[in-house]
Amino acid sequence: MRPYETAFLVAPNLNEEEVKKIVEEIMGIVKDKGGEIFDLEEWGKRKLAYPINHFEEAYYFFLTHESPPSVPHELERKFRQHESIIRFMTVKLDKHVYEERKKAKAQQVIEVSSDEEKKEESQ
Amino acid sequence: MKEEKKEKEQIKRYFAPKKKYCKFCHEKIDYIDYKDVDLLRRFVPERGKILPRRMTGNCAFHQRRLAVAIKRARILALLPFVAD
Repeated sequence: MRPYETAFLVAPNLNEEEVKKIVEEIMGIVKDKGGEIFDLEEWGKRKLAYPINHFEEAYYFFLTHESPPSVPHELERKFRQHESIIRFMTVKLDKHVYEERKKAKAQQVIEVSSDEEKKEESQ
Repeated sequence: MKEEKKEKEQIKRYFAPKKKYCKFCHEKIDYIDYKDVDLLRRFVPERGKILPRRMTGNCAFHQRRLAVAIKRARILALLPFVAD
């Protein structure tokens, strides 16, 4: 299992439901192949620095996951088949960075839960 | 003799440029994220080329990491390869 960060851009001519479907499909592949999804970052529609396939903007997604090495391979195959994914990139995430992000996320969860506890106490 | 020396020193001082330093070392950033477009923009002037080390003052370690991050950002169209 290795931490990876997969970025992919979805064509802007789809509506949000279709985009959601694609994202779920991608996440499904990771899960099916034995990977664990850590985080999904959505930037929404964003202007491209240069046109890709005559599109001027795209939906940006960044998926952080910890997976066996077969997953990036499978994802790449899928991305290439998919017409609506106009650009993709998977990078191996530095282990230290991944650990730090994990810690940061854990802390966030703790803070949120402690906030909730406080609320309950005040009530 | 003394006056000459003084003059030389003055000239030297006049031209002494501001000391450059590696901003990443200073702020203790060890991972330069390719998603941090605003940060990367500072090292990519309008033309889209990566600023050389002699301009930025970055240390070799961070300049390498920075270059990789910029190139990754370019692939995802976060930064231009060339801009005119």
